[in-house]
Amino acid sequence: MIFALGHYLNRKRMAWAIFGVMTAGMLTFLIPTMITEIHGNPAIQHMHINQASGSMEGKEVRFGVQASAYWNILTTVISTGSVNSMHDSSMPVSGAMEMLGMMTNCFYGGCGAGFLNYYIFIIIAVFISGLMVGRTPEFLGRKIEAKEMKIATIIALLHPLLILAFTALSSWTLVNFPDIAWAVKPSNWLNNPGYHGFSEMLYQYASCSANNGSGFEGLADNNMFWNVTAGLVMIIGRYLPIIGPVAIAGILARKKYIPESAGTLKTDTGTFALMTYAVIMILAALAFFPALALGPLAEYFSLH
Amino acid sequence: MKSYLLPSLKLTAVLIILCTVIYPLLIAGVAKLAPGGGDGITLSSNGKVVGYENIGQKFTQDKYFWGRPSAVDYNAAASGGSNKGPSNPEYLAGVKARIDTFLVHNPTIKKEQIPADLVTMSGSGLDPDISVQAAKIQVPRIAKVRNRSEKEIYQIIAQIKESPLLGFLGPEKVNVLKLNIALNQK
Repeated sequence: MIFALGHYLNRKRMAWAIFGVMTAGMLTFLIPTMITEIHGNPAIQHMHINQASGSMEGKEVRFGVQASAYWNILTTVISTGSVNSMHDSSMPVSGAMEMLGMMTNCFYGGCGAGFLNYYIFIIIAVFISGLMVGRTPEFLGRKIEAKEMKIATIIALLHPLLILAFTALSSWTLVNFPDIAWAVKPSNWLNNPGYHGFSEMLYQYASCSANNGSGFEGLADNNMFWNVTAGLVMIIGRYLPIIGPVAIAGILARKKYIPESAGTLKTDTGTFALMTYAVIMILAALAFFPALALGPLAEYFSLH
Repeated sequence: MKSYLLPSLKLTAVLIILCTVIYPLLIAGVAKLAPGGGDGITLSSNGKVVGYENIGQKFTQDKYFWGRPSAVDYNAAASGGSNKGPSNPEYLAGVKARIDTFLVHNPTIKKEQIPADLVTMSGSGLDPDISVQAAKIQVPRIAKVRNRSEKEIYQIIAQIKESPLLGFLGPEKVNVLKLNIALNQK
C-alpha cells in the first residue's frame, strides 16, 4: 500500500519514511511482548515448576512462545483478527501491547484501515510541526488549514471515544445491573475476575473499532448487549474513518498547488518521521493510558 | 453517474471471479501439492487408523505418554482454550492441582523438572505435541508400568522428536500420538 503510494506520488523517500515509522511502532509493541512471554508467568514461577519454555497457557507447543508473541502483535497491528494463541491468557504487558496495536490502529494497514489512519496522523503531525518551526503547514504541496485539521482531529479522537465510552457503558451495566434478567446475566460476562475482566471488555471494543476481530475470548460476547453495542462500534468506528480522510483528500485536491521552496516543511525526512511517531504514540498513549492502567497495568502490578 | 456506476459494476464482477473462483482454486491447488494432498495426515497402528497427526488425543493411562491439559477435553468439534488470565486465582488453583496430580503419578519426578507446557492448557485444546522435556520426565513412570528399560524409551523419544523448522524456527517438540504408537509397537 505504502510503496504503491510512493510510486504513484513519485515520492519513494516518503514511502520509506512512512514504512520506517510503521516498523518502529510495530517493534515498540513487539519487543516488550516478546520479553514478558519468554519470562513466563510469575504466579506460576511461585509454584516452582520449570518455565524455561515461557508462558505456555493458551499456546501451542509447535509455535512456542516466540512465534505466538510475534503473531499476537502482528495480528493486532495489521488487523487480520486471526490468532495462533489465546490472547486472553497472555501476560498483562502483552495484553496491553496487543490492545495498543489496535488502539493506534495505523501501522502497515492490513484490511485497508491502517494507512487511512496514518494519513490522519500525518496531517496532524504536519500541522503541529508547522506551528513548532513557524512554517506554513503543507503536505504534498497543499496547505493544511483549519477545516482539514478539524476533520483530522475528529477522526483521531473518534477511535478513543468509541472504545472508552462503550467500555464505560459495559462496566457501568456490569456494576449496577449484575443480575438483570437477560439471556446472559452481566455478572456472567467475564471469565476472569478483577482487572483482567476489565481488560476483556476493553479489548472487545478496541477490536471492534480497529477492524480486527480477535478477542479476549473469555468474554461471553454472543448475546444481545454485546452484539448490539459491538455492532454500533463497528459501524461508526470503521466507516467514519473512511469518509474523513477521503474528505480531506477532496479538499486538498481542490487547493492550489504550491511548489516546494526553502520555506516548505519536508515530509520525507527522519525528523518528520520521528514527529509522526511521537504524535501517534502520544495521542494513543494519552487517550488510552487511564484505561490501560485500570486493566493490564493494574494486573501487572498485582502479579509482581 | 454512469461513469461511476459502470466501472464499479465491472470491478465487482472481476473481484467476484477473482475471490470466489480463482483464489479458492489456487489454494486448493497448493494444498494438493502439500504432504497428505490437502487432507489431514492420519497415523496408523497395526494397520488401523488411530488418529490425525495434528489433532491431539487424550491419554490418561499411566502406560502412555500424556499430552497437554485441554480446556475442551480434546473434543475436536469444539476447539478452544481456557481463556483464563494469568492472575486468575481459579486458574492458578487449577495449575496447582495438575502439578499435584502429575507428582502423584510420577513419584520419582521433582516439581522443578515439570515443564510449564505439561500443566497449562493449549490454545486450541487439541495440541498434538509436547516439549521434549515433558516427554522425558514421563519415562520413569512408563518404564515401570510397561516393565521396560528407561533407555529404550528415551531412544523412542529421540527418534520421534522433531527439530525446529530450518533449525531455529520454533521449539523442539514430540508428537504424543506417534510416541504412544511406537510404545505399543516395540
